[in-house]
Amino acid sequence: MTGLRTASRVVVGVLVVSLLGLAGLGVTAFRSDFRALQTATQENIIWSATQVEFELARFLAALGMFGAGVEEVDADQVRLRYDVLWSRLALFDDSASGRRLKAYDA
Amino acid sequence: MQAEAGTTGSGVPQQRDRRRLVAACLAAVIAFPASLAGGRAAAQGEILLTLANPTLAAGSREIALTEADLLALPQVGIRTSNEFVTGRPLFEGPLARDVIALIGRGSATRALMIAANDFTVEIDLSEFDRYDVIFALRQDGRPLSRRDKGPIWVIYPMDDHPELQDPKFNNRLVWQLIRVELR
Repeated sequence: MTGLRTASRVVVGVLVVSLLGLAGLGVTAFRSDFRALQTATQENIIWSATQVEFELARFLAALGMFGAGVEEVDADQVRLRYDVLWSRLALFDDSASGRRLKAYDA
Repeated sequence: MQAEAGTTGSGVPQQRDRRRLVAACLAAVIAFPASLAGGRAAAQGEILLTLANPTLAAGSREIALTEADLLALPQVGIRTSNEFVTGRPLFEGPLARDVIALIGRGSATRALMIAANDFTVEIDLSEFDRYDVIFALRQDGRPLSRRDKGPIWVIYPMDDHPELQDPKFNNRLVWQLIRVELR
């Protein structure tokens, strides 16, 4: 009887330790996932790339309208769209997103 | 079938041209050092920032500020990192609260910040009292041009306050700021 009781205590002990271990692993995994998610939110490579596409479209539209002599679009507006497009591209050179993209190349 | 093939045929080269243009622009940006890529600085007398406050009972509800107007205010330097720069550059410009004081708050409690790229974000005015947020005109002594997040870049002193390192504050680093509407 005493042997059986000791054995069951050992089994319960092992179970508790394993459960605690699993819970610990779960928390660690959750924290690393959470951190990765936070980094992804901060860097936003897809957002930056989409903005380049968007600003390119706006620049081409402004340039097209200026070329076609549309009165509402003057040279300053074309310059503004070009500068904004340029600033979007320059972001890839000096930002967290740019550094991450360059790290992929290496 | 032939018509379909024709449509695809005319669409692909157009897409290729656009990709080439993007690639050329990217190459140009990467090839030129930052000093050359800076674009032109703001011309004298050019309007950099418009402030609007419809909550004011009387007086001017909209004012336009030139670079000289912004430089006439006390200039504050903040050395800080953020996710859009390398290292910890020195940013200089007037405090956001000083600029907003030029028009007056009236009963406004929030500010809608509008950028040249039509990005907008609404910020609680109390943040400008709690933190020394600046409307940066210079980075490491160099005027910010429109091609490099200028002429005005809203900078929070992120390195001085751990709570400002929360990702939500990245959205408030409005660059190419052109208009502030109080509400």
